Amino acid sequence: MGTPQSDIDIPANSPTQLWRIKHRDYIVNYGKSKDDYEYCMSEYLRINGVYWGITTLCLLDQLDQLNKTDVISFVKSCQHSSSGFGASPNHDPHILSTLSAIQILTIYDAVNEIDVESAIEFVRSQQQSDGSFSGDKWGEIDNRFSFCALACLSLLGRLDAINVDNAVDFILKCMNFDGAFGCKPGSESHSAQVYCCVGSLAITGRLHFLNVDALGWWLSERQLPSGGLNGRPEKLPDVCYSWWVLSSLAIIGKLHWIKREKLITFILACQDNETGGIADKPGDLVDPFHTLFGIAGLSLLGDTTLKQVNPVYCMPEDVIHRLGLKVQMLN
Amino acid sequence: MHGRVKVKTTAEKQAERRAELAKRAQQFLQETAAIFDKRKKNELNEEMLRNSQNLLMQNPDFYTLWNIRRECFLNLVKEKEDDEMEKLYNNELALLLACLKVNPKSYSVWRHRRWIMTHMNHPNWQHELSLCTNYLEFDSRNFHCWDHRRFVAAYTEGVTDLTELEYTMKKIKQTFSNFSAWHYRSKLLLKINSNSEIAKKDSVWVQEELDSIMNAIYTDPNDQSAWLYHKWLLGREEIPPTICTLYVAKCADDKNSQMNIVATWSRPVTTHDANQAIVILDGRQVDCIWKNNCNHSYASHIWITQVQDVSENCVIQAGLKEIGSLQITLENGRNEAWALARNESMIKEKMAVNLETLIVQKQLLDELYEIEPENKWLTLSQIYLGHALDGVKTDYRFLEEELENLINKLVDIDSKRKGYYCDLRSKIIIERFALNLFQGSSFQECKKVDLSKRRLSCLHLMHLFSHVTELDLSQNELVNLGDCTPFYCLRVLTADNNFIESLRNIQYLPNLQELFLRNNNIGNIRDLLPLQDSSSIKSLHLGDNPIACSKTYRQDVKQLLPRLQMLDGELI
Repeated sequence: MGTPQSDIDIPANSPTQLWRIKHRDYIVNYGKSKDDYEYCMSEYLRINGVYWGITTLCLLDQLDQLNKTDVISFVKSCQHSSSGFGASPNHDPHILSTLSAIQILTIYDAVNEIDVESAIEFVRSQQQSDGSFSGDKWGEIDNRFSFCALACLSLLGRLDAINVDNAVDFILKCMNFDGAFGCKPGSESHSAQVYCCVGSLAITGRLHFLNVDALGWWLSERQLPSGGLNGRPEKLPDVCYSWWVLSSLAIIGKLHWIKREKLITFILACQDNETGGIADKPGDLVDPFHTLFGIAGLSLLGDTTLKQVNPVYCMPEDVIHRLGLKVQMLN
Repeated sequence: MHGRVKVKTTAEKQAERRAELAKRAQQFLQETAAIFDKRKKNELNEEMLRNSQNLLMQNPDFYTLWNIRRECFLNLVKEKEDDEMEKLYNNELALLLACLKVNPKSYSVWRHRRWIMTHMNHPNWQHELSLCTNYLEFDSRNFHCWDHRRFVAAYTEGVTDLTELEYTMKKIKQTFSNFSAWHYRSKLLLKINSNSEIAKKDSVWVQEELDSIMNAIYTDPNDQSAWLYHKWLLGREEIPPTICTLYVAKCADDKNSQMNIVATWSRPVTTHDANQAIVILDGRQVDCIWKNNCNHSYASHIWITQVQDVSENCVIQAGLKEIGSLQITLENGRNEAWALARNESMIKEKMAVNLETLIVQKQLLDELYEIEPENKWLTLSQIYLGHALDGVKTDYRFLEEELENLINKLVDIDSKRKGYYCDLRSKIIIERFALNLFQGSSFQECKKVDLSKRRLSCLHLMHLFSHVTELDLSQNELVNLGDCTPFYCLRVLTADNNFIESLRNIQYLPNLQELFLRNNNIGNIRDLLPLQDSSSIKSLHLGDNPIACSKTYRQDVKQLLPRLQMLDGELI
C-alpha cells in the first residue's frame, strides 16, 4: 500500500572527492572531436554549452585554459544582423542564446565586441503587453524567457529598456498554490521555473511578493533520502536541481533548510572518474550542463576550493562584483 | 542529456560504435548544411519540408528547423489550395507525433503542434484532446502535456472548467499521488467559484475538496502531494498590509517644531503602497512623502515622513482611508509617543476555513496519527493544527511541551530538514510570545522585550517590536539578526551567546547605542563592516568571539569604528 518514493541508491564505490583537474580536462577537450555524435546533435544549444563550459572553468579557476579570442569569435558569429543571438551560426536568434552570449562576453569583459544595441532591442521586442516574454518571433511564452530578458538586460545595465512592473506582474501570475512557480500561468510548479522566477524577482527587487515559508518548504522537500534533489514532488533526483533548487534557497535565505552534507555526497557520486565531468545521476553519461550545475552547487554549498558563484546569475561572483550589480537577497 | 546510463563495453565495441555514430553525425551535418543553403536561396517549399523531416525525427529539439518549416507553411499557404494545405498540416501532426516518441518532453515539438493547430483550417480539437488524454495515461506527470491540454481545452467544444475538473478527479482516482492533477484542480476550483465564494469559509467546494484530500491522505499518508494541497486548502488567506505601529518623535534641536512620523507596516510594502497612507495633523490632512529607513528601492516594513509646525498637544493620525488609521496625541512636554494596533491576524497565520471545519480536520488527522505516529506529515500536521487551534477552540491548549516533543520527533525522523523544523519551532514560539504579550493589558507601555533562552534559530515578527527600546535575544541559536531593519527605536540589543557571524542590516537601526555580542561567531574585522554605517553605536561587546583573539583586536575595531566609545566595557 502507498506510493513507493522515487529515489536512487548511491552505488557503493562512488567518488567521494571532487576531481577538479578531470573536470577541467573534460570541459577543455569537449568539442575537440567535431565528429562526435552527441556534439553534432547538440548544435542547437552550442552557445549555451559554451556558457556552461566557461562558467565551469571559471569556478575551477581554469578559464585561461581556453582561447579567449576563439570563444569571442564564435559568440560574434552567432549574432544575427541587427538582432539577437542564435545557438550557432545559421541557427535562428533566440532569447536563451542571447542570454548565454551576454553571459560569456561579460565574463570576458568583451561585451563591446558585439552589437549591443541590437541585442538589447531583440530582447526588448520579445516583451508582450501582459509583461511576459516570448523566446523569439514565433511567440512561445515561458517565464524562462522573462528571466533571460531580465538577467541579460541587468548585466548590460539596461533594465530601462523594458517594462519591469509588467514583467513582474506576469511572473507573479505564474505563482501556484504551493508558493512555487510553473512556466506560464496555470502551469505546475517546477524547480527550474522557480529559479527563473525567484531570480527575476531578485533582479527587480521584488522578493517581498514571495511566500517565503511556503516556497522554502516546497524547495526543502525536494531533498530525497539519497541526498539528491528532485525537480518536483515524486520525481527522481538530478544534479541540475542542485542548482535550480539550491540557488533559489540561497536567494530566499533558506539554504539551511536542506542537509548540506548529503547533497554534497550525491553530487560527488555523480562524477565520472574515467572521463571527468558530472552526470545527472550516479552511473549515467556526463555532459557539460550537469558538470556546471554540479560544480556550481558545490560552490554554493561552501566548497572553498571553488570560486564563489552568484546564485542569481550562475556566474562567478567576482564578475558580478566587477559590474557593481546589486541584486536583492533575503538573509 | 538526462537519464542516459553509461554502459561498459569493450574497447573494440566502443571504437565500432564511435565510427558508426561519426558517420551518422557527418550525414546529419551535411543534410543540415544543405537545408541552410536552401533557406538562404529562399526555397521554402515542399522539398524543404521533405528534407528536414528526418533530421527532426533524429533531433526534435533542433528549433531552427521547426522555424524553417513554419516559414515553409507560411509561404506555401499563399499558393496552395485549402485541401492541399490541410494534407500538409496533417502530415505535420503525424511527424510531430513521431517526434514525441523520441522526446515526449521537447519544448519545440509541443510548441510547433500548437502552431499547426492554430493555423489549420479544420483543426480537430477533440482528437487533440484525446492525444493529451492518451499521453497522460502513459505519463501523468508530463507537464508539457498538461500545458498542451489546457491550451487545447480552451478551443474544444464541450470542454469546460467543470469537465476538466471531472477529468482531474479521474486521474486522481487512478493514482492519488498525482501532483499535476491536484495542481490543476487548485486553478480550476478558484476559477469556477466566484470571488464571493472564496470569501465564504463554509463554501461547499472547500468541504468537498477537503473530503477528497482526506481520502487521499488516508489511502497513502506518505504522499507529499496530498499534504501540500491540504495545507493550502486550510490556509489560503491573504490579509492586506496595514500600519501596525505608529511612532512619532520631535526632532531634537529644531526650532521649526519638526517631527518624524514612523509607520511600521504588517508586511513589507513598496514605495507606492506606503505612500497611500495619509497623515492628518489636528484634523488637517498634510501632504507628505514616505521614505523607507534603508534608503533602497525594495519593499520595507518601516516608512518615515516628516511634518513641520507641530503644535502642542498635537493629534497625529496616519493610515489608509479604507482600512483605518492609528492615532497618537503628543502631549505637552513629551518628545515622543507611539500607538500599537495588535490583533491575532497580525501574529498567527489566518485559517481559510471556519473553526468547526478545522476541528473536524484535526480529529480526522488525530485518529490517523494514532495509527501512524512515525509519519512525518502527520506529525507536522499535529503542530500546525495544534497551533492554529490553540486558545481558539474551547478548552484546548497546545502546550509548549507537546510542541517540543513533536519537533524533536520530526528532527529525528526527518533529519535532513532539521533546519526547517528548528525555524518552524522558533516561529511558533515567537508567535505564542507575541500573542501572550499583546493580549495583556499593559502591552502598549512595554518597551523592553525578553526573548532570551528559547533556543531560537531564527527571528520572526520583529516588525511588531519596532517601538521597543531594549531587546534581549541572548542565549539562543541565532546565526544572524535576520531582517532587523524594523528595530527603529531600539537602543540596546543584547545578543550574547548565539552563533552570530553576520551583522548585515544593523546599520539601519538609527537609535542603536549599545550592542552585546559576547560569545558568538564574529571571526573577522570585515564582519563588523555594517557597523561602520551606524551613526548611533557607542558601546560594543565582542568578548569570546574568534575576533577577540587577534593581537590587534582593539586597534582594528577602533580603526574601523572611530565613533565607537566603549569596547567590552572599556573606553576605546
